[in-house]
Amino acid sequence: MTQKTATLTISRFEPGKDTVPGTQSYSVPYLEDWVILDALNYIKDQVDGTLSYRWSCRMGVCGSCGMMVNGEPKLTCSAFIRDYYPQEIRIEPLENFPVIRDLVIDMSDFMDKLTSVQPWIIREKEKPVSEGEYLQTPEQLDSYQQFSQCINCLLCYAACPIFGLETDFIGPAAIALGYRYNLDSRDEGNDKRNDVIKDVNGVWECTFVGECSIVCPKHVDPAAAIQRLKVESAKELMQTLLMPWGRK
Amino acid sequence: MIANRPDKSKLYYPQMPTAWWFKKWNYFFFLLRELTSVFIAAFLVVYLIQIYNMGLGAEHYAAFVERFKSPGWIVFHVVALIFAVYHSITWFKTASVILTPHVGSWAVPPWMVTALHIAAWMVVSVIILLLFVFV
Amino acid sequence: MKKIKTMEPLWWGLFAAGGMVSAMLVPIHIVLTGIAVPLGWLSEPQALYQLWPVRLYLFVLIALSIFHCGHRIYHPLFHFVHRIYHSLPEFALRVIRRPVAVLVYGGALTGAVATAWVLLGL
Repeated sequence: MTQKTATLTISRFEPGKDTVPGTQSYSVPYLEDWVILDALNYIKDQVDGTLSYRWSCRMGVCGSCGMMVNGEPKLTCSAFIRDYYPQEIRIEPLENFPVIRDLVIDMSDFMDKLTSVQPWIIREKEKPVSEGEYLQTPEQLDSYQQFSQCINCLLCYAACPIFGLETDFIGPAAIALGYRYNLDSRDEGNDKRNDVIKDVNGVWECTFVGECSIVCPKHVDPAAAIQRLKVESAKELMQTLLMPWGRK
Repeated sequence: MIANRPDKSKLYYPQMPTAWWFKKWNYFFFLLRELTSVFIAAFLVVYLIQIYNMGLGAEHYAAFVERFKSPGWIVFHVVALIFAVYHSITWFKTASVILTPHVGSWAVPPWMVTALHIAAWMVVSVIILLLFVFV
Repeated sequence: MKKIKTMEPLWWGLFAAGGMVSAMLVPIHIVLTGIAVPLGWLSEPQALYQLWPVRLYLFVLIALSIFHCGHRIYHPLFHFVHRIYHSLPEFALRVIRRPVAVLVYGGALTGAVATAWVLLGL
């Protein structure tokens, strides 16, 4: 029996040589249990060593292998070829990001935005180690846990048309992670974070398209985080306007 | 912060196509959802003009309402109704993302929040209908 | 008093209120005054419009809903205009924001004022 093959049409871009990306088609063996990442690794190992892309854990926890598969942002380690076969599969770099080479995008802008929301526990005074751990009940953990599942894979940024149109928007993942720390009972940094998250380039750019939550592979639901922050913000402004003596 | 930054001069910067809302079904439905506000605003303006005419006197108002009997106006209102209903349903679905009511420690699931909103919507509509008919 | 960075939450709050009001009430009103009355199934209870509580209700319904629609139209419209002129430098984009905002929110504000004027004059 001859080996069945699948066809992948992949975006290629060489910096310094190309001005716009082109495509190249490859034929790979079709195996029932292969994911797209397997096909990419096959191409790089056996067919074309110049193909460039990011990957690491190959099991959906590192967030490295995000790419556009037939126009949808996906983790290529979790997208099975059998779900697309026998149609041709189009692989492109994540949308809305500058392309460095082939399927590798420039995520430095995201890293800056992520840092700006200070995604770590902020405390007025750190408890000394001798005093023991910070205790947290299961309910307190529950309140922020889903938002802590973010693996920074950037699929939500590729899905968000607002991020595509407004590059200053800090974006779903950064806001969801900021929210995760706001909700954490051990954290005291809400005010510092909200200066960024609740500013015009934060939640107020979002028009709740909702695609971010649909494509998220870890079910973080950044859209929910953003809308809840809007409600919180509206309540805070009401309080400030109607009871100015209330808060410092 | 980030040690190795790519050479910005060699990057390829993709542009979003102008008709980005046709790229995906979900983007198209999003646009449709936002477009509902145009039809709702249009209806409200028409309604306001109708109320204004009501204030001008009975004959004025009767003549105005005559115009609404034309097929064109009926179609406008039916189309506006379809968009208004789509607006309501999508609004209640988005509300279920934001509102997470708890009964004790049990979290009300999103579909139930939407269903409760729709039920409230039906009740409110019936109340307005009854006020309209019987008062 | 806590420093206010942006009034955006206030507009959003009004937008959300208008959204709930229009979602709950607009459909039935379209059915009643746009379809049932013209087709003769029901007659408009004109006496009802004289009552102050009814006028207040109508003001809230119409003005708040028009504001909601204005806010919803502004965002995609701004992005649409922004996208058309994407090649313009940054300062020019800020120039676009104003006219679009004035057009849309001005329209909504005019709608609210007109609503009040009509209802007071009944």
